[in-house]
Amino acid sequence: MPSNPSPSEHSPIRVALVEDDVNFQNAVISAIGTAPDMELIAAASTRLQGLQMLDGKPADVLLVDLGLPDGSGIDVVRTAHARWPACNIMVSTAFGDEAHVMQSLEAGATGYLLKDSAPERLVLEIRSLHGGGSPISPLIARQILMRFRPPDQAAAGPVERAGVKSQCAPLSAREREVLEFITKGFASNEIASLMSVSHHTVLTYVRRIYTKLEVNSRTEAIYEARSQGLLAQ
Amino acid sequence: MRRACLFLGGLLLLVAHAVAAAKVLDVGRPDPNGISLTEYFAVLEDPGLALTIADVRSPEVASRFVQASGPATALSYGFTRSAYWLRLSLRNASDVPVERILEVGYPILSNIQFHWPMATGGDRLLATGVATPFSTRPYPSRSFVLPLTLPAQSEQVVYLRLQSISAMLIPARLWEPHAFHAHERNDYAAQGWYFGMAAALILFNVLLFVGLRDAVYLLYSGFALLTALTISASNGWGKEFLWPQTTAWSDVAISVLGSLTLTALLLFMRRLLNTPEVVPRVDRLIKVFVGMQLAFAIAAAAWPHAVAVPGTWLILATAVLILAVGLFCAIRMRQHLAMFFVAAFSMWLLGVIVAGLKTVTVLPANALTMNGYQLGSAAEMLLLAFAVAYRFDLIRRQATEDVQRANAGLAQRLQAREAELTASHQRLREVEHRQTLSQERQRLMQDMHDGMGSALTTALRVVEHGRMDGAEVAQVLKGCIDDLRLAIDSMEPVESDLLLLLATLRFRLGPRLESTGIALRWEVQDVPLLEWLDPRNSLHILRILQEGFTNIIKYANATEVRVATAADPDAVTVTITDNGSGFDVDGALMKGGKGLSNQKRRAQAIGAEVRWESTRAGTRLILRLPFVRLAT
Repeated sequence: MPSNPSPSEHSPIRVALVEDDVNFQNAVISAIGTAPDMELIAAASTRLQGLQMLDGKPADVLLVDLGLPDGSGIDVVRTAHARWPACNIMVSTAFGDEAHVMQSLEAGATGYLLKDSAPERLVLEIRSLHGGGSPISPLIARQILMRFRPPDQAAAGPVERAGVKSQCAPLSAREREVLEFITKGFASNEIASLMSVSHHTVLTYVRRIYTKLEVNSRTEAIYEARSQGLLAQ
Repeated sequence: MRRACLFLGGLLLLVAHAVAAAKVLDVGRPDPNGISLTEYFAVLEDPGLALTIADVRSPEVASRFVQASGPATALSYGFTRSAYWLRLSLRNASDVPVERILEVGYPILSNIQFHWPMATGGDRLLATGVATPFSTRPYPSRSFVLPLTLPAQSEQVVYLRLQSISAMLIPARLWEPHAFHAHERNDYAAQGWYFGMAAALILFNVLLFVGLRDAVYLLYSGFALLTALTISASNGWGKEFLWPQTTAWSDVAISVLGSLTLTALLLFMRRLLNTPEVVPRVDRLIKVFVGMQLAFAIAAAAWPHAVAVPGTWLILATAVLILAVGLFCAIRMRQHLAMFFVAAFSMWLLGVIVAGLKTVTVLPANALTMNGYQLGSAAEMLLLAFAVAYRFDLIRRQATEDVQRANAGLAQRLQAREAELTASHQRLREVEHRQTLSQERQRLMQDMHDGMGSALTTALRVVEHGRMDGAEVAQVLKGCIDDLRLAIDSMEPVESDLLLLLATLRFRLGPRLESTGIALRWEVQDVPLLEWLDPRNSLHILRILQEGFTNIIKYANATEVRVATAADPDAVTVTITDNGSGFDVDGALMKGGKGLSNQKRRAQAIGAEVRWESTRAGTRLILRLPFVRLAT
């Protein structure tokens, strides 16, 4: 949760970028240039540069491309999440398809940006992310619901999986409700009125769900590593 | 007559002399165990069977009596056709009459005559023996018993004449009546024990046979029954209780029954030790012995005297055979069962030997030796019962092992079959997978060809002719990207959830719609699952609705679009309603406009139905998705 919910009134949103596509890089740079409340503090075009960049001053929003020439942007996302805990990380993707997005969320990203977004939309998304909002597609929502199914419902899951599940933070009823509305196609403002809460509350629910997803995926990774003897008990 | 009287008187004198020379038993000192009479007997063999009591009393014959020697328990002359005369002198030196009991304790002697003087003067004759009815006995007992009364201050001479098919064995004792009765009670109780045990074992094994249907139990029962009958024949109980009135039978019973017993034992051994399979050659020999024993049983009935000696040899040979077979199976074949059998048979043999040695006075007569044969037989029966029980255990264990092996085999076959099924299932899945992949490829190719492909080709042609500006090209490309995204989304399994599919559509197209200023009202309701909603069908639905949205954006001049779902018993309906200017549905369809006919074709391809209702107040696209699809 960002400490400052209305950043436009104060210091500008510091954006960092890891992107090898020059066109998209330029699109981002020019879009940020038009936004008075944002400034680009760093830009990298490879995974290595991106990781080195993380030694520097933390940004408020980090935009990472997954397909970097020297490796996966996921590594950058994961490292950034550890080094810059307060930073909102979003990945840029051509299609916003489930596989890429889930992977990013589990690594610690809380948003994503479609590469064909118009400049104004791009700025809007960055601002929304910085303000605590997170985009969520119905397919992602359903995927998360399935991930968080209680062990007794996940009948097909192996036993040790259930054991991990019990260590993981479960979804609250309200969070679950939000996800279910999303799978039915409702937009966040519609969900807010259906649930009689504010739009902002719905956004925080989504953000919390993403955080839980990341934490649980880390728990599962540790559990997995322990059970395979890769990590001390 | 006078001469005759003189002769008789002379005879009497001579007899008196002879008697005087003989050892006289003073009955005044009774022994609680009875007194063995062997050493008091004077014995005369009569091979011609011609002598009468008068003859043996004649001085001439009387002098030929020989005093028996030694304090043995019995006189023994083996198998003989001769008659034996025994003379016994008894004296009562007391002043009161004394009652005594004379017992000949070998119950299978064929004929016994007792000659003894009456107190009132004159002689008395009692003719009994196993070859006469039991009723001839003055006292009912398994052995031959003669109660005597000796007057005060008197001497008596008692003559016994014996003839027998069985060996001439004469264990005679003189008892004080009370002592005899006590002895008799104990003796009967001991015999009772044996027969009681035998009866229980026989009955038990008959029941086992009834229950288990294994001939070995029946053979055992037969053997045990014949053994018990043989012993009853040898100890006089058969005569006393089973066949008291018979004469010829009771005389040969022990030989016939003995043979049959050995026959039964041979048959039982064959079955118990499984000799036909374990030692087939020896088994043939056993069969020969069975035949010989049966033949002997018949011969013993027909010519008892003639076969008595060879019968003994046959018994011995059979015993040796049984012992040898048992030992061979036990040691060479390592049959535990055979060890039991040998032990049992040895017990019987020991019993026979002990009884025999007792009879020939090598062993003293005591409770053990007197009942040696019974004891041996009892031990044998018990050990054989153990053997039979052990055999049952062996068979049961064998059966258990067989079942386990069968189970293991079954499990193995099951495993093999499972592996086979898994493999074939795997193959099927691979085939299915290949088919699915090929179908997916076809579907996507078709979709790209019809959608993006044609859009891009058209755009390219137009751009080449310079008739398209940047904004228009961007529009075409945006459409292509939308197409691509929906194609990718359609590859995620929606698991029959139509609302999820619609949600995806909204997520993708909503921003495009809203950017044109059209308000989207989402009025979906929960609807039942559509089982047939796979990626192929999903993409068709997405395309139909996408086309609908595109048409609204392009042509309808609408400000609001409402998306709703509904369900009836047969189908789920999706409606897209706009508040635009409407269009002539029939006309458009007649003209064969590409958009509408594409939608109709796609609907048909998935067994669904699409139609339009249009007025000046707006247009409604209705997509009806039946739960059971129409034939495609």
